[in-house]
Parts: sequence; structure tokens; C-alpha cells
Amino acid sequence: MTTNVDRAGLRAPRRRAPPVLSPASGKSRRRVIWARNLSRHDRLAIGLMSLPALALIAVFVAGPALYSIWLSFTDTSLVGVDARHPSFVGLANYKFLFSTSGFFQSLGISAEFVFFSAILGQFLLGMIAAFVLARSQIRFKSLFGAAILLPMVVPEVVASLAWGSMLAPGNLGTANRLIGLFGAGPVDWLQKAPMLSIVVVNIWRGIAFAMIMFQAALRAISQDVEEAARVDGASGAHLIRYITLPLMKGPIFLFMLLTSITTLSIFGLVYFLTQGGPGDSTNIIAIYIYNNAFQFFEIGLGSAASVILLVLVAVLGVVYIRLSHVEI
Amino acid sequence: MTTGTVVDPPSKPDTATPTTSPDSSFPRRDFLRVAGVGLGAALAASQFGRRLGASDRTASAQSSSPIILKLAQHQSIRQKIDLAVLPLFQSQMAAQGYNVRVELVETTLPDNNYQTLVTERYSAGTAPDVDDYGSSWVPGFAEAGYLLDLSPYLTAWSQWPQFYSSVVGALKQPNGAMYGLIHEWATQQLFYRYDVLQKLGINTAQPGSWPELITRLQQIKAKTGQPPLIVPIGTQWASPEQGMYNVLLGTGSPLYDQQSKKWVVKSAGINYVFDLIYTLNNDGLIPTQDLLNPTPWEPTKYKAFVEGTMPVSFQGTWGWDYDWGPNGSAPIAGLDAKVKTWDFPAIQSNSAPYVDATAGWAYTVSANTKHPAEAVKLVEFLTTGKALAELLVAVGDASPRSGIADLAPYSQNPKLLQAEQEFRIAKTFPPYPDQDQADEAWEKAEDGILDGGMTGSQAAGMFAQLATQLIGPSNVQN
Repeated sequence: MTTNVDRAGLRAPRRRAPPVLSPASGKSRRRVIWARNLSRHDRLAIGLMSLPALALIAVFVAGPALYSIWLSFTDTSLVGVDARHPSFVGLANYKFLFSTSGFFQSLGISAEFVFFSAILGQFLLGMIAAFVLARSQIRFKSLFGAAILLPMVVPEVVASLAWGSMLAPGNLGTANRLIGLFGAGPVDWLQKAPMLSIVVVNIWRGIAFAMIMFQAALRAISQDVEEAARVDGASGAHLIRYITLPLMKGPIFLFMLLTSITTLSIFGLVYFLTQGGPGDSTNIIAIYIYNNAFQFFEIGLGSAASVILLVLVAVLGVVYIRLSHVEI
Repeated sequence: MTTGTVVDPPSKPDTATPTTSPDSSFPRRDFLRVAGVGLGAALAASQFGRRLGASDRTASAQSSSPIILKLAQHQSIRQKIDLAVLPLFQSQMAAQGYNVRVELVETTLPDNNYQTLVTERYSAGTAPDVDDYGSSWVPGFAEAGYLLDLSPYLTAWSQWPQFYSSVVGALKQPNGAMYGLIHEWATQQLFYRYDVLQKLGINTAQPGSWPELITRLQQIKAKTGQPPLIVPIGTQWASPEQGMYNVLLGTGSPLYDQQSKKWVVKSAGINYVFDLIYTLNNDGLIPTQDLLNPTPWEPTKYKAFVEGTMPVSFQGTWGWDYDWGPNGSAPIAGLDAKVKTWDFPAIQSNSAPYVDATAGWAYTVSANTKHPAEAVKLVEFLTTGKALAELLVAVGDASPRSGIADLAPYSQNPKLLQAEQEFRIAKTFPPYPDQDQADEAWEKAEDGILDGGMTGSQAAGMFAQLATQLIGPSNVQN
């Protein structure tokens, strides 16, 4: 919900009954009003019906997260003596991560990957696709929409293998066949341009999500506002810059938040294409964590890296929310 | 036009959601009905489950159901051999009055993926009774408590004295227990394409030292324009025991001190090896880019060596069959005439070129098995007679015990018979506790040279630091 209303001083007058909420109502006040109007057994029923969901969250989300935090302070391993007798090591795992270059290098690679593939690539192309498909005079609109949506329904592993085939070295790779039409020789894409390759693949896969979010946001903008602006003499560019984009600020930042989090946690797409290589050039943080936890079996160390990632994602989320002034 | 001042957002679903009306409340009667039905269903399900469990146990106790042993294999060639010989084991056991059936758990995966899988199985307590994998994994699994101590069974086995002393030494852990039975043994050397080197006019006599070998490699590179030497280096290949540990053995510096039972992470030998890696990398004598990629053996050992463009390779005896044999992963036609071997060049001034012996795969029994005696019987069967002779030829390794040399098809393979004689006198580096951690530190330090621009001494320093952190300072010699 945007807070433009607050700044415009157009706060809706407070009403007692019925307790319909105005967009400007505070969250806590809303909860109080809502709860006050429920009978005791309604509240009990809601509580009971929430129990399965809460239990699932506790068992599969909160519990493992807390356990992972605990593991990060131990030397737990899946092999060796530490597997049988794990011990509390305090901040040793964190000290290790901060004292070796590999962890920071992985974070840097992840930041590069998120910025170019999600924040830049998916955002721009998703926005363009949303604007284009919003135009009513476009023919075969649903066909284009379906084509953009398709990558989203392809399973991650299948997408990786398909792209692995497309980017294959030699004359048989689809990408090399395409550039061969223009006289260029074959390129070993995953060796010569591994980061570019995984960025392109992730953009391809994520455009659909961006497009859906932006299309919904575009549809929510009242036609009256746009028409009023046109009457005032606003050009198409002005309309986008001063009307459409400001009204889409909330969804845009929400997209940024979600896509940053999901891209940071991508594993299979990159692992099946490059396994983090060549060398460490695509060793994103998820692969770094996987390697430590499940290739070298250092569960404590892998957990510590996960906890740091969790904190970074939380900070990122807060920053986005503050910047956008949206309520999630 | 200004922004954000006159825009009243259209009404959103929020405005409608939290209102309460008599229609939306949940009547007490309905609530009680739903709760009652749910509780009744839960009770009925629990009773049904209890009765079902009880009837299962009764049926199981009353029937003479066979003992099911699960044997895991992750290489298709080994699966084929097992499928062929397991009926014989079952009939032998039946003759002795045991009703045993063996289920082969076929999970065909590359070694590193299988190591992850089997570790998770052990950790979760779902491992098969018997498993088969590289003996370098055994110490880590044994220390974690995943494996059964085979010592009491093996020492009571009539055929145990036929296992060579070097094999027995490699099996024994510092506590004296044996957690795996090594069933194959390989010797490692430098394999080279004799036909290619002849064509290029390169001397094919045994190189006496590494500088001499490097000179020849540079000559090859000058003529082909390609890095000529294939060495398993780095985290992608992840097999230092097939790579530079072979060179370390020639330096006389131990990586593990058996007396103090501690790792030696700093030594002149370690410095020598990392300096050598730096030289090979810096001079473009090894395929750096391929070594940094996933499955580095594909473009090198399975392609470039076969084509003759990378004509020298670190390699074990399994190359004769498993890799380049007629039924191997990348067959070389006329293998015996085209491929010859050199011993590893000497490093110490008073020493001679040498062969390295490496323990191959080992059978292990899960500590959680319900049938330890039968599981060990299976392991004994698989390391005996025709079952072992067939396997050794299929994977191209030498026998770890006597009594196999006369059995076909092993008896018809002179290279393996020769390897069996060689490995008993070869230098060897058996796996030790914390081997995985030491290997990890070693591979990462190698990567430091391959793609991190480190010098040999910097990589040696990185190995010492990482190994100390991963193995633990108390397990490392200062």
C-alpha cells in the first residue's frame, strides 16, 4: 500500500462503525479493531485452524532455521570424529569465513549475478514485456504472453540441461549454430563467458515473473488518472515517467525484493551448467554453501555461511522496504 | 505534472477483508462438529495403524522369510559383475543352511556425487548393509561411527592370510581396527602415447628426473602447441591420490606421521610439489582451463589423450581396461602398441624412478546392519575366487591377495599380473583419518595456483593454513 496519500494529506476520516479499514490505518490499530469484533469462540476457531499451518512452519521453516543457527556455532561434520562428537566452537566458523577469501569472493559473484540478471535484466525486459502486452492493439497478445511465460514452468534442471545443450562448445551447440549463420566461429560459451551465460539463462527464466507483476500493477492504475494527465497535455513519455512508474513504485520494489532473494538462493540452474566453474568464476554463494556442507561435509561451516546469507537477505529486505515505503 | 500529490489510490481489497458480519462468524455448533469429526478420525487412524503394525510383526515372526542384504554399487560395470555372481553367493549360502537374498542397490553416479549420497545415507541411518567405494573414504566414515569393525570377522577367516601385508597395513586404522576390505589395488605411473612421441621425434626412454621430463614436455608443446601433460589437479578432479601425492611420495616427505598420528602440513617435499605445479602451470604444460572445469577428465583423458594431442598422463593400471580398453570409457585401438609407461622420475639425488601403489575400492559394512555376520560373508565371497577375478579384469586393477593369479580371466591379463607383483614393492600412501579434510585443503591450494595466480610457496602456505583449520590444530604436527 503506498503512502502517497499520507503525504498528500488526504487521510480518510476516522470512522467507528462499520470498522472498514482505510489504506492509511496503522497496522496495529487494524489488528485491534479486527480482533475486538471477534467473539471468543471465533478467535478459538481461528487459532485452531491456524495450528496446522503454524505447526508446518515451525517444523519445516522455523525449526530448521534455528537448528542451522545452532549448527553454525559447532564443528558438526558428516564425516570424521566431528560427526560423532560435534562440539561448540563459538564464532570459529564465522572467523574462518571472514578470514578466507573464498567466502567474500562468492558473495561478490552472487552480487554480480543478482544485479545483472535480476535487478537489471529481468526488471527491464519484464517491464518492456508488460508495457507491450498492455497495449490493446497488439495482435497475438496471448501467444506472446504464453511464450514469455513458458520458461517459468520449465523445471530448473530441465532448463539447465537445455541451456547446457544450447551453449555446448563446437559446431553442434545451438548458440554456435546461430552465430555461425553470420560467419562467426564456434565459441565455448561456458568457458569463455561463464558469468554472461548464467546471467542470460536467469534473465530468460525470470522475465515471466517480472512481467506478471508489472502487468498486474499496470492494470491497477486507473484509466481516469491517465486520461486526466493526457487532457493536461502529458506526452507518452511524461505519462510513464510521472504517472505510471510512480504508481508502480510499490510493485517494482516488491519485485526487486523477491527477485533478489530468489536469485540469491538459486542453486540448480547454475550448478548444472557450470558447477561454479571454470575455477571459481561462477561460484555463487549457494554453491559455496553446498560445497562446504555436502561436498566437504563441513555442516557447521556451511551453516555459518547460510546464516550470514540469511542476515544479508534480511538487511536487503529492510532496505528495499524502507526505500519503497511499502507495507509487505 | 507533479508526482505523488494528487493521486488517490484506488480502493484495494484491504478495505473489504477485515470486516466482521454475522454471516462470516463460525457457529459454535459447526466448530464442535468439525473438531469432533477430526478427533474421531485421528483416533481411528492411530488404532488402525497400531493393529496393522501388530499384524505385520506377527506375520514376520511366523514366516521363515529370508535375510535380505542390500549391496550398493554406483558404477555400472561393477553392477554387471555383481548381478552375474550374486546368485552363486545365494546358492552357496543356501547350501550352508542360510536363507539369504541379496538386493543390489544400483545408483549410477560419479564418485563425488555418490560420496555425498552415501554420506547422507550413513548420517540418516539408511545405508545399505554392504557398500563399495574408494578406500580413501573409509577412514572418515569409520571415525564417524558409520562402519562395522571387520577385524574380528577377518582374522577368523581362513583366507585372510592370503591378503598381502601392504593391503593389511593400508586397512588398519590407527586404533588397529579394520573397517573395510580393499579388493583391488592399482599401480600408478606416467602413461604416454608411444606412437605420438615417436612421430614427434621425442625421446621415449625413462626420464631420470623431473627437469628432464619437463624438457621433454616443453619439446612436445613446441611441436604440438598444446599442453602435453594430464595431471589430476584441483577441486574439479578432486583426486590428489591420482595426482600430485604420487610426486610427494618421491620426495621422501611424509604427509602423515604414523608415530605421532598427526598430519605433516609443512615440509620441504610439500614445497617441492607446489613449486612443480607452479612450473607446470606457468609453462603451459598442463591443461589449466580443462582442469578448472567440471569433469576435467572428459576433454583430457577421454579425448585429448585418445586423439594423441595430450600424449602424457598420470594414470593407474585401470587405464588399460576401464579407461582405454576395448570396453572402456574411451577405447584406443591398438592400445598395447600405442601406449607405454614410464615410472615417476626420481626426486631425491640418491633414488631411482619409482612406481606408486594405490589402494583401490573397498567393501564396507554398515554399523547399523541387522545381519553383520551374513554381510561379512558377502564381502568375503566378493573378494574370493571367480567373483574377484572377473571384477579385477573389468576395472583393470591388481589383486590385493594371492590365489587369484591362476583364475581366468585375471590369469590371462599379463599387465595386471605384473602390477600385482609391482605393487607389493611400490611406494604407497594409504588413506588416514581426516583424509577428506587433508585432500580438500590440498585441492584448494592447487586451485590457488591454477586460477588464483599463487606461486608454489604461497599455495604451500595456503595448504598448511587450510589443513590446520580443517583437520584441527591438535591433529597437525607443528
